[in-house]
Amino acid sequence: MSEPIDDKALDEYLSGRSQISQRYRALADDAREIVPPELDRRILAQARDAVAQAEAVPADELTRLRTKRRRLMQWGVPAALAASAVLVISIVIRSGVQHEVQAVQEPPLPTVAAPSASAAELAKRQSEATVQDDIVSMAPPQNAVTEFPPPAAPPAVSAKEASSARRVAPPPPAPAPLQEAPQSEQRPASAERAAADASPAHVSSPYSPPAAPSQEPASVAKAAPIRQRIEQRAAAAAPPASSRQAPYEPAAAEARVESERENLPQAAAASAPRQPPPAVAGNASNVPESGAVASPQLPGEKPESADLHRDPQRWLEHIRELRKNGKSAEADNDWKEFRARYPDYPVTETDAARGKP
Amino acid sequence: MTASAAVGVAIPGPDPGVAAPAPAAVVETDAALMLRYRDGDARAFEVLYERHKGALYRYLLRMCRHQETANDLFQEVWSKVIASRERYEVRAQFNTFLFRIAHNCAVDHFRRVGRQHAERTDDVTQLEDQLAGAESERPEAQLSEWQVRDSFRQALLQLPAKQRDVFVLYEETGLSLEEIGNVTGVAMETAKSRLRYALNKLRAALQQHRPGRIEQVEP
Repeated sequence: MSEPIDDKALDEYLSGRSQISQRYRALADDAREIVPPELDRRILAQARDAVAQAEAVPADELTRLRTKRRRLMQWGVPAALAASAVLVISIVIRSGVQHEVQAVQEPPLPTVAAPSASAAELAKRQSEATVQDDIVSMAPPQNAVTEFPPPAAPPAVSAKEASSARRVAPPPPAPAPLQEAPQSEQRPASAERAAADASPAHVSSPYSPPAAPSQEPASVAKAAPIRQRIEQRAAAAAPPASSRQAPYEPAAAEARVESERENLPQAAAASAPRQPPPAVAGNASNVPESGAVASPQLPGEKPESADLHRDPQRWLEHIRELRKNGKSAEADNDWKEFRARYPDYPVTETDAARGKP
Repeated sequence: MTASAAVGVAIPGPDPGVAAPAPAAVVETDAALMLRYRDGDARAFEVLYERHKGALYRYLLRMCRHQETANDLFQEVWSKVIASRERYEVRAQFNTFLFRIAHNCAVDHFRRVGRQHAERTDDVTQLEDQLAGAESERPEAQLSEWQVRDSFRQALLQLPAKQRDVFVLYEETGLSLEEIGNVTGVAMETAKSRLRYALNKLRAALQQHRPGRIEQVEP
């Protein structure tokens, strides 16, 4: 191989002492290997033109930028004013809405009238749905009566009138006669008077509202557990600071109202699972169970039984179930207690809760 | 290679083809001239052009072996330099930057006219034959310097393009083998090998005209 010789020649060449380099440089003397002057001029002119164009372009760009900036400055002040105005208006609108919400939501909070009213509406709807099932039960009319405004009529309806009216009213065998029953002669004059004095809601309602004064405590008493449950949930979910005693917190108030609205249907359904039929309620609305319906919890009572005893209808159902299950002694005791607490509550003679004579 | 190194080494060797410019008191580097041209100094480009035009032109002439084509490529290369002046950054020697553009232009040209290039090789062979014929008419005792030069030129033109590329780059730019590999896109060892082959062939061409070789041939 000629590798060592090649390397030696290569080193000699790279050191610049090679004859090859001298021969190569001798080639450059040839006039044919010189750049033509025309080509020189062309290239140099091209270079100068490029510089001239570059100098012209920035001036144009600068002018364009200045013009653009001037236009932006012209629109800058109006745009800033418009943005400020929009911001202020949105703040004012938002604060105004908050005040309105506060004004709307604050009054109902200390009282239970509004929730109870809405609960009554819901309960009424449910009662209309379940009227066919409970038509025989002769339930008290407290839920239906909550449609009426609070004490518009004086509580002058006597218990005797009411009881006499109840006694005269036969047990409705079917819904059809029930509709006619309130318009019949069983309706007392005082009830009619009260109905005439009542709000337009009475007109639409066939039931006289003599018991209206006594219904407000009933509704309050009925709404009390609902409100208690709502407040318990709110207390469990919210921080311990009491929202009622706090000045006013719109967000908390809104949340509370929302939770109440959401829970109202369930609460109403739970407290009044079976509503009395309207016709019967109309009949029974004459019953002046002013203190009976809203029965307070007795000192020795359990909470469940107290809850049960507040609702005579549920209590009666409970007694019926006891009898059905063969717990006659317990049922008798409950029946006696029921009668002691609700002496005038209408119970049919054939009601299973009465037991065998 | 760092920018500072590039700036410091960027002065090319003397151009044998053109008259060397008078040495100024302060010789600006190629990179500094290019930066000045980038900033709008057309005079800087003229200086730069004068420094490198001969080497570049000969490189292109040797590569494409056709003067008109060399002229076109020469203008194309400088046009690219002019166009890229705004993006120019001192990352390597200006020589490397310039001859990389030239190498790429030459490669593109070979790709465009591959067949014509082959035909032109035939032309070179034909030209060599003509020269040899003219030379053969002369008596051997009258071998002049001109004949040796022509023979060397023909040997150079007959080198494979890759070997010729490395050899001409080395001669014209003074770049190291590593930088030549960078320009041509190959490793330094590859460039070295190509240069070695080119030297062997050129040496062989020169040895044909040595009197001693003739004596050896003759019995």
